[in-house]
Amino acid sequence: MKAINKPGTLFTRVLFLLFSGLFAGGIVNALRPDGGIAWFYNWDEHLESRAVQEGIGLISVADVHEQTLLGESIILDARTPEEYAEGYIPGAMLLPYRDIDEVFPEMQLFLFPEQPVITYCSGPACDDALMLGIFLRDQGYTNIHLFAGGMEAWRAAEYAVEGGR
Amino acid sequence: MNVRFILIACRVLLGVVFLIACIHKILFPEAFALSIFRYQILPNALINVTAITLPWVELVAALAVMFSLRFKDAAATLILLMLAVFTVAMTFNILRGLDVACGCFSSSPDADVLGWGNVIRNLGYMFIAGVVLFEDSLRQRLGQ
Repeated sequence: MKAINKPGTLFTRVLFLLFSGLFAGGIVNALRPDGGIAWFYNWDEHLESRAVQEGIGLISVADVHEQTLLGESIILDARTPEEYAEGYIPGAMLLPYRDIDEVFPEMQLFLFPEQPVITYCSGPACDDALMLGIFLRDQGYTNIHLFAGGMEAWRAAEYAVEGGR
Repeated sequence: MNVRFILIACRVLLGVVFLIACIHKILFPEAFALSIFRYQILPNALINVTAITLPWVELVAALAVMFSLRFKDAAATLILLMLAVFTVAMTFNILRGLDVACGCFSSSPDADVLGWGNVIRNLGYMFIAGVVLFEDSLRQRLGQ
């Protein structure tokens, strides 16, 4: 077998490849037409980060879908009645966060403290579902999950929508 | 079967796997950053830096392991190291019951949720990377 002349030691070759990748990533990010993503972003303010800090679990669209089939969790739609009327996750009950003081006493009859609850709103840009989760936690509910993707992720996954168009 | 053919197949397999793995991450760095964030392992300050650079390290390693005889062992080492880090991160999250997507071949946060299958698959790739790393000595020993 003919020996291949390899430059440097294995360690320096690994470093060369590593830095080539790091360099290429940096250059391409800077040259992206959309300006690339920021090198540093305050993830502490991200919706899901706040949920985790508040002790609220996260749930994926696939698991929410599974729950609509199993019926083990109460799914709460934190959007406005108008948004809810345009279509909601099958089986989801309307509990608009903005009218929480008026609506919650009635909803309380359906919920018990250990009841698995999933909250969602329109998408990752809205925080009503998170605020609803925090409200429920403060009311003594212990098994709350935030579906951060909300209706946006639900529709993108092409799962069935109840009501609306 | 010819050992040389098997060794070439190992390099091509590793390269293709890493090429496929990096494409979505390169095209959608924001989504990849969110995947990293959801792993909840890296400090928040390092998430975007990793999302910007890691896919390109994967790409460079993939190309080198397939096409460069001079750098194939270095690429295999880099791949082995990356796979080791990914596997530890996956195992940690599975053990602590975190319900996150793998983020391996798709950055969609709603891709298949992490499971032991991902860990076993990674261990398989690590074995192949080890074979590539020691390819020359294997071939010498086998006289091919």
